[in-house]
Amino acid sequence: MSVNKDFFDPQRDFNYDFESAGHPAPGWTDANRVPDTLVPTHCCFCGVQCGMYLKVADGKVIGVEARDFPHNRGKLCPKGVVAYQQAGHPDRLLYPLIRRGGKGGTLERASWDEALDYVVSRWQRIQAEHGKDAVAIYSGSSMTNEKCYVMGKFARVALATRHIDYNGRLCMSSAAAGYARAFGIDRAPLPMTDIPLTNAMLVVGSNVAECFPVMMQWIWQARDRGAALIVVDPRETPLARTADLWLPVKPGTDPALLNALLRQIITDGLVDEAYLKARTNGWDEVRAAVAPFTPEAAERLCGVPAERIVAAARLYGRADPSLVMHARGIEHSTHGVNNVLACINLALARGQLGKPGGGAMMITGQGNGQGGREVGQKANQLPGYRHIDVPEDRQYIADLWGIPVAELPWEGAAATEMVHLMAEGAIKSCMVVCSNLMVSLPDNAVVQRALRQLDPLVVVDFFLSETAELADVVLPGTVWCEDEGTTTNLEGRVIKTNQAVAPPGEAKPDWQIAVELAERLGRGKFFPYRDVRAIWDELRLASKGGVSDYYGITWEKIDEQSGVFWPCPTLDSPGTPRLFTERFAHPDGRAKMFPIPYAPPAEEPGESFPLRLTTGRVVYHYLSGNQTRRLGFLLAQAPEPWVEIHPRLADQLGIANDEIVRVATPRGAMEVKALIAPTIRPDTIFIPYHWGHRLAANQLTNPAVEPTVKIPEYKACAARVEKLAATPAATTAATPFVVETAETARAAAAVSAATAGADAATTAITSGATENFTPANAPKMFPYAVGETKAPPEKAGKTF
Amino acid sequence: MQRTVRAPEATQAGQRATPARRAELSARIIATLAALGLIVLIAIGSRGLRDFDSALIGYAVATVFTVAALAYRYTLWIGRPPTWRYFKAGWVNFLSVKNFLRYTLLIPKAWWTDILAQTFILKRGALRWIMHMCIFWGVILSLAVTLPLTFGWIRFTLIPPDGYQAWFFGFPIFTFPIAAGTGFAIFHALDFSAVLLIVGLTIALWRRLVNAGLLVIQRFGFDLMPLVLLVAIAVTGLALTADSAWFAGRFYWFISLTHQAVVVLWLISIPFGKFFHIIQRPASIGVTLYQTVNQDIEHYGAQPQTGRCKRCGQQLPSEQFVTDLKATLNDLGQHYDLGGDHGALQDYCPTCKRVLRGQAYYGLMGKRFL
Amino acid sequence: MAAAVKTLFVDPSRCIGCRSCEAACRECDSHKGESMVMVDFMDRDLSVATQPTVCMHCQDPVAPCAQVCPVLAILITPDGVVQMAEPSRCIGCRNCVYACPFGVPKFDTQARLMKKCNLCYDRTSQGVQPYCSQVCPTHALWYGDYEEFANSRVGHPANLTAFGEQSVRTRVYFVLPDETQKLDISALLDEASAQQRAGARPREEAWVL
Repeated sequence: MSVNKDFFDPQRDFNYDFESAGHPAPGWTDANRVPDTLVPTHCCFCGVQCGMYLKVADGKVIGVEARDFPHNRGKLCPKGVVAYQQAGHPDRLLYPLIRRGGKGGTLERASWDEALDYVVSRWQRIQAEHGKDAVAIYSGSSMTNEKCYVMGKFARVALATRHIDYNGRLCMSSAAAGYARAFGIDRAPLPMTDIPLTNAMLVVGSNVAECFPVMMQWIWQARDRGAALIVVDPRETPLARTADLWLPVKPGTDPALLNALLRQIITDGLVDEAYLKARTNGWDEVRAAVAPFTPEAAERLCGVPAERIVAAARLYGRADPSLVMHARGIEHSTHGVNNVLACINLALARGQLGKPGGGAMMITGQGNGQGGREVGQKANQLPGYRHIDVPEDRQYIADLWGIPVAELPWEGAAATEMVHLMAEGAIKSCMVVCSNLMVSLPDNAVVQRALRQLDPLVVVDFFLSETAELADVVLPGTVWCEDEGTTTNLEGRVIKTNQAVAPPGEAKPDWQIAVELAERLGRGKFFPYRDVRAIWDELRLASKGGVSDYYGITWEKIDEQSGVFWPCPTLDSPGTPRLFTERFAHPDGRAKMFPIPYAPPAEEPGESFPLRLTTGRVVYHYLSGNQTRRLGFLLAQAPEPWVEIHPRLADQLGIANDEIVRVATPRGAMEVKALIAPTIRPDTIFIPYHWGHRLAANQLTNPAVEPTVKIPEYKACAARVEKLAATPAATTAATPFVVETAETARAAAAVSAATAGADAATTAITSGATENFTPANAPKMFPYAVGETKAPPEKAGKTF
Repeated sequence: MQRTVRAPEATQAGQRATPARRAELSARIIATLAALGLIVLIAIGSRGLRDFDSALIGYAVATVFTVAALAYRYTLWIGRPPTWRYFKAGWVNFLSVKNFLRYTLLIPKAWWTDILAQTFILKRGALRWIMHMCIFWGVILSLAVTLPLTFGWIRFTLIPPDGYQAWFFGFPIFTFPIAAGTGFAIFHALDFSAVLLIVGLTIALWRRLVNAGLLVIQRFGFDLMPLVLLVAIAVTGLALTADSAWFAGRFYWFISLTHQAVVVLWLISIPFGKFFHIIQRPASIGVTLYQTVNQDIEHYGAQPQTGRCKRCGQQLPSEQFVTDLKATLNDLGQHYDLGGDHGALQDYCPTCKRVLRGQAYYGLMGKRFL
Repeated sequence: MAAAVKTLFVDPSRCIGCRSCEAACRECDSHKGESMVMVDFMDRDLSVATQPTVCMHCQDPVAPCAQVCPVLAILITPDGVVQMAEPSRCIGCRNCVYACPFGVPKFDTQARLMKKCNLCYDRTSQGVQPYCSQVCPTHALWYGDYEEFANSRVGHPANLTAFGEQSVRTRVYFVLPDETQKLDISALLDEASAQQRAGARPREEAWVL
């Protein structure tokens, strides 16, 4: 939590104002009903997937009650408490909408038949004229495994398009690739309940307190037991506040810090050589690679005092077991995979992987972020974490689905690449499911241009999101408690959500919409599902023998065991809560270590943009805010974004607290209120990203992507802050930070030169920012030239 | 759900023993005087008990007892430091000519919003307001008819051939023809009030039976018992009319005895239960006057900077209010002086009191984890 | 201290300011839509530190709010829980709002009614813990008895707060460092401002850049 609500309305008298806790929607102030039933289920929001009971009376969800589930212990965050208010919300979409008057027209009510027939007829025409791949599916990860699975199958079997990807691409795809490359399995290796067993936590780029509040109980339990806490974050988050050591890193410079930590651990002789010898490959290269990263060199690059780096390395390096936790702070980066691998290197060097309470733990963000990336809706993936370009995997899935393997499409464009294909006209139509690109993708002016090219843009959602506002056809989906299914939480625990009420109006579960579209496309026989369980049973078979093997996970077992950890290959297997206790998942059973060079973010401060902008979340909102911005309590706590500015910078610019300022980057500008607080680096500013239109932080962010997984760099770009009255030029007078930046660039060049095999730094200053990605060295984007294979790291990333 | 609750008693028992005993003594005296006064009035009003209906003696005795108990409790209540301060200030404000000129409309308005129309209940819920208006007017109307009747203050004499003479307190008031609407209205006034009551009570009981919040926190003795008593009164009262109209009075004695019993029970319960608020409620008019007058800075010639939170500058009710509150706390033996230039705790708004505590805690803990 | 008495223990050092407690409080059937718990920033110019405030249920002096109530609208249960104003009695004078040493009661100007935390009477009477502590993801609000706390948690639960010369003993506990027996508001504020003047406590992180 970083801002008080009086920030948004300084005149408000909170002593008297009961509405300050948010306007309740009509009907929610009545307490004249006693629940008939308590439906056991889980929260629809973040990756923790807290257990909860929904109170139901007369077919309506009227409230929420705590459920003592192993990983949340009856705890809920504010989003979880009010999540139930989405069912029966007045903003819900109740029937299909069509823009009958074409692009300029308005969305009008339509029947399901009209809407689906129109979509299918357009798709059939487009595919006949422009080929199968002219229609794409952009899916999401905040829905059940069953829905995600159906979306993947729908794209590949019903539409036969190669272009299916999902919003998990924007979330933690770099962590997924990092773990897959290092260990052969992409999953957090230990359950949250193991956190209290650790003796030191190194939290890198994760605002756990705001993004995973319920996880805090495990971290605090470890603290109660005396575990050390080290937090790497450019802001003093509620987690960093009480940390033993806070390393306020410059956004986007993490490899320098992580490598310096490892170098210091080596220097202090804290490396577990026996473990490295027995269980890893590549240690020698890593050791050589980190040698140039002295604490002083790292300090010049990442802005963290050298003595703190040394202290952190010792605090972390002397503890056993010790745990590295990381999330979007390092993953939303053009070198996200490398950041993750650098974290893993630390944990491996300390010999921690496989120990209870030790190792490295990624904290997946989306509700079903883990499941959504395993069940085959990713551009390069088939269900069960199978790979679309591995012949055996293709054969297995094609056989299961009953189609000739030749008909199974090959790898398509990643979500971030799709946008360019839409803008170029290669993709003519797209169905967006469970996603709000207009808020979530970087540089959203480009996104808007791309989406306007589509005809039709089909959006399946339960509220009219910023993306749905642009759609030609909007199909009303269901919220989580109107359907049943399974999700896989950030620990890899497969859990069951249950239906509490019937969908409102004519709304239908997303999987049913896909099935009905498939029937109209003449592919109905491949989707013979009567209920969700039928999909689940097919998914179990589809994942059988794959990396994420769900075969042994039955709904009954989930209920009995309070969730089952995959892999669970047989019906009598209890699942696998802790991974890597004996061996890693690579064929030789050993973990791979990768030397990590220092690379700066794609864009760094320059003459006209002297600051670093980083974006992130607020505890009250979830992802694009399409859900949480409609819930009175949550909106009241954070009704609009703001920009966090250090008092020193504010003094320099003459900005007062609560003043509206303009934040500009090479891509655009927006006006937001300034929060002057000393809890952020003076050279960094922060804007939360949950809002759309003129309030979207993604008007500013850099669309540059990571070369392998194409995750965008939300967490670092160059920016400036202007007073509204002042002319742009007046405020950009050289600040000390520019000098500091030039120095950083020299230091970077020095380190790069010292790092074997690294390219010489090629930087250009054209836009007023320092652009480290140039046309020459920027990642290759889809479509790839004929015969071109992807760069080696990418191939390695997915085939392990 | 049953529970017992108590109002807070004086904390330092020893220190307060003597004043408490003295207050109790004066309360007893006032109670006795009130009871005696009522008896004298009954005697005069019924012309030496000539007009007194001996069949209604149970009601009269119970009323005398209730009045004594009410006077006793009211005196003790009004003598509590916070109440006494408001009581005194309220009357001072009321009796000031200056105030009267300035706030001529305030008192009638306050009577309307606080007592007659109870508009503040409307803000707690429309249904609650309808319910409360029904019960309130039902009870007031019933009392207005029943009490003078049982005291022998009201009687009707036949003026042959077809008229009635109404007497009040031994004086002839007016005459009316037997067949007229006035007569019907007068003789059935209690039936109307009973119907009003039943409407209100039905809503109240329904609320208490289905409202999930009320179901768990309501107390039988405090919240449900009064409703049950009123229902019994209304139903037996209506039964009396029904009996005489349709059953030729066959069950009259039994029903009237039952009716009398429940009414007596209810009367006796007034000073001790929920219905004491009927007596307390008019005090809110005094409070309204007090707050309005005290907020009127011009009126008191005070500095415009008064009555603001010491830390954030947000408005406090008034400087007079804060001063009185500090004095009240002083009377209770509590002194929240923070010392130095911090001032007293009551100089801060609630939010700033919390923030002060937070800052003290931060001073102790800083960014440490416990 | 009777060991069996269950009460709340407040530990602001663990609070992450997520306002789950506020969200949960307004789910209560008896005051739906209105939160009686308040989460405040201690000083946003220093830190992101926050603290939750529930009614402390003062025991000695017993409930100042109830003592200053002119109409005895605030009642106390036999086990020391101070209730919110009885709506039939409350005349809206706001004495309680300003008398409360902890800044707890809220006042509904429209309905002319004081409202405050009553330790979730609806839930605790059914053997369920208050909604705020039930959902609190950090155990900054924790419900149980003294023994249970001492056995499972770190820190010294104190129930004494000093405002200058006036001390208030409360039913709800505040978790303090082991050596600290009470939260002495005046002394701590004075000490903090003295340190501030002496420059011993920098207002911002020492940035080495």
